[in-house]
Parts: sequence; C-alpha cells; structure tokens
Amino acid sequence: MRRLQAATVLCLLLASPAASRTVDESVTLEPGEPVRIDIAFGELKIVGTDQARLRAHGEIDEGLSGLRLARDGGALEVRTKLPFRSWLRRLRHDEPRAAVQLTIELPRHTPLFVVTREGLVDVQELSGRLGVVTVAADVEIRGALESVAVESVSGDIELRGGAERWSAHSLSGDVRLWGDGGGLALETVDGAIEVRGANLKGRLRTVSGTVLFEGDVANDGLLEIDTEAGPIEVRADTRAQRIDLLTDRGRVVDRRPDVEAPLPDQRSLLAGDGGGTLRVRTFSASIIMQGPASEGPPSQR
Amino acid sequence: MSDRPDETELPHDLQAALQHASERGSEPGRDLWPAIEVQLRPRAARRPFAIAASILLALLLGLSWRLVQSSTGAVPSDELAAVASSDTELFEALTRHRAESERLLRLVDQALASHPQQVGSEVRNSLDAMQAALAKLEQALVEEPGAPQLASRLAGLYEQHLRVLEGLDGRLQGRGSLPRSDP
Repeated sequence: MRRLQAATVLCLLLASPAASRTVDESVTLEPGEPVRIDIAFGELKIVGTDQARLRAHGEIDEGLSGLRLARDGGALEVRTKLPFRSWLRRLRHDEPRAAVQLTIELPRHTPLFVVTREGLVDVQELSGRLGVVTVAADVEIRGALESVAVESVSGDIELRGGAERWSAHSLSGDVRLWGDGGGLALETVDGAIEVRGANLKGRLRTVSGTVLFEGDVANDGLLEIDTEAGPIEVRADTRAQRIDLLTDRGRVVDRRPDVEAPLPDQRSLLAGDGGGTLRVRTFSASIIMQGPASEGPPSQR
Repeated sequence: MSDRPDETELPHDLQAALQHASERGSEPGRDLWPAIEVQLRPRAARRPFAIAASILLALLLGLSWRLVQSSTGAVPSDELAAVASSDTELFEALTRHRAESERLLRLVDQALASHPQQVGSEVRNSLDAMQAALAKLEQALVEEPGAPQLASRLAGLYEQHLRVLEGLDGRLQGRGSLPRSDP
C-alpha cells in the first residue's frame, strides 16, 4: 500500500516532462572509498558494477536544481541540490517534497550509507558494508554482502541473499528475509517479521508483531525468537535442530503431521536433537509448530 | 429594630460602631441592617456549597484517575517500585526508564513535527502497543512478584523501550552510520 502511494506520487511528479529534468553525473572513486547518499524523497535504484566510478542518472523534480557529488568528511556524498530559497527549509528539516527517480551505479565493494525519508530504496549486486536509515521508504536489498544494517520507522524492509550479519530494525514496518547463512538481529515493535532460510543464527524480536520462521538454524548455532504479544509460527524440521518453545500465558499448538494433538493448555514443547537450537519465547502469545515447508503448501498448514 | 440579632453575634467592628453610636446618644443616620445582613448571610450560605463542591470534585478526580488506571492497565508507581526493589536488574532498568522515557518521548514529538501526519499516527500506534505490553507485564509482576522470568522480561522491555525511542529520534532526524565491519 505504501509502495503504491509512493509510486503514485512519483508518477504524478515525473509523468509530465515539464515537471522533471534529466540528470547524468559521474565521478571516479578511490578503491574502498565510502559513499553516502542523502536524498529525501523518491525512488533510488543502487546497483553494484565492476566500474571504478559512481554514476547517477535519471529524473529529478524540477523543484530541485540538480545533483551534487562532492567529497565531504572522508566519503563521497550524493545529494540533491536545492534552489537557494529552499536552504532554510532544509535546515528546518522541512524541505520541499521534490522526488527523484535515480539509478546509481557504483563499485560493488563500496561501503555505502543511504539516508532517505520516503519512497523506495532498491539495492542490488553490492558486496561490501551497507547501511540504510529511512523514515517511511520501503527498502529492498538483494545480494551477497559483508554486512547490512537497515533502520526504518514505518517502511517495510525486504532482504534477499547472504550476509555475515543482517541487522534490521523497524518500528511499524514489516521485515522479511530470505537468507542463506548469517547472523540475524531483526527487531520491530508491531511490524511482522518473516524469515525463511538455512544456516541462520541470531535473534528475532518484536513486541506485538507476528513472527514466521521457516528453515534451519546453523549447526551449533542458536536462533532466538522473542515476542511479548506477537503470535509465532515455526516451520522447521526437528531432525535438523533442537526446538525449544515456551509461552508464559499463551499456548503451544503442535501441528506436525506425525505428532498426536497436544493437550489444549500446553505451554512448552521440546523436540529434536540436531546441532543447532531454535529457542522461542513469548509472554502472552501462542506458538504454532509446523513441519518443514516441504510437507505441503503453507496455505494448507 | 426588633428583627436584629443579638449584638454579640455581630462582627467586632460593627459592635464597636453600635457602641460608639449609643455612647453618643444617637441612632445611626441610616438603617445599618441591610448592609450587615448582606455581609453575614452569604458566608453562612456559601460554605456548605463550597464544601460539597470540593468533596464532589475530589471524588470525581479520584474516580477519573481510577478509570484511567483501569483503562490503561497501569500499575500504581509506588506498588511497582516496591516489587522492583527486590530485583537489582529490574530496579535499575525501572529507574533508568523513569528518568529517560519522558525526555525521549518529548524529543520524538518534536522530531515528528517535520513529518507527515501519517508517520506521526503510525509512530504513536506503535508506541501505544509498546506501552500496553509494558503495562501488561507490570501488572503480571505485581500479581506474581516472585517470578524471576517476569522481572527479567520486564527489565528487557524497559531497555528496549528506551532503545526504540533513542533510535526513533535519530531516524526521524536522518542520523545513522555504516554498520561495523566486525559482526
């Protein structure tokens, strides 16, 4: 829904040739030179390449006077240039809602930091460290990265691929991860958390959002899921890991096909003896234990 | 002058004036009673109303506070502090939370002023959800003060609440940094 709203705003801003202008700027980067992208509104597609330069091209709102690529504080900074009359508004964090639709290409291993307010951040093919801070933009990251840290207020976060460390915090946005290995630190207040993958460890924590975990814990690793009031669904193979579920005020529902129905007031479940441990705790919510995904489509479980 | 009350019931200054007039051997130049009556009657008549109104107001305030407490599930702070005092981790977390949360909430409110209303309402909904979870845990702990898991969980949630508020202020103002390379 939020993405639809952002797309509508972008279409309105960029559909008419009179409302936008084309930009194409580039600069050569030193190996390993960090980049900071600070653009408040719009759609940013960021792509890793084998080139040694950063190139930013696309459309910007006519209310902006151009793009600024300049070195500042040990990093190359990409910003939109505001007309002189709007500088005071930027200082007051009240800049005009002038959107962009940009593709930014840069060397794959560039350490990158993105700050934005609304719209969409789509990152592909990067392999270094990545940090994104946003208020309401949706964030999509695909690739095999060294580490990823995303912080949002209400934007959704979608992570696909591998990283040594995934960190994503959102207040009300949803966090979804399809991961192959890595340490997780995913946290929301009332946004949902969904994790699908193998060889995972770390922690998923929410206050009242729902949690779905489907996959396997790393061998000898520990994956903890903790909620206050958010219901939890686990789809995991007990032959591949040790499962330890406990709810204080809710109940555990065991829906594995080869297990008899548990007592209605069951509050804990211990199963499996594999190398990794999945430990699930909740104060007042229920926990549903399912078999692994291969046992049938999710809609029937 | 037969409907006048006994002179000992009159205020001291009026008694003196009457005494002075009788000593001069003359009646006052005008009938003093209407002015005296005006001064005497309202005081006697107003006091019961004032007392009744004060009692009613106090009852209403008390009832309102009870209603607020029951609707939010909030535990009286002294009761919670008494329970928390037996657990060092929880007591420290509670103390930090009380010292910091109001200040951080004010910063968040200030930062929200430069964002669209929709962002503000989403933030407030989430913070309400967190406050409800805190109230639920506080209530559970007061009902079951010896439960160490509850105390530890509540201490963790106080810390998370402060962390969320600090992070929120930073995000709303566009602050942040690259993740460290060592995970």
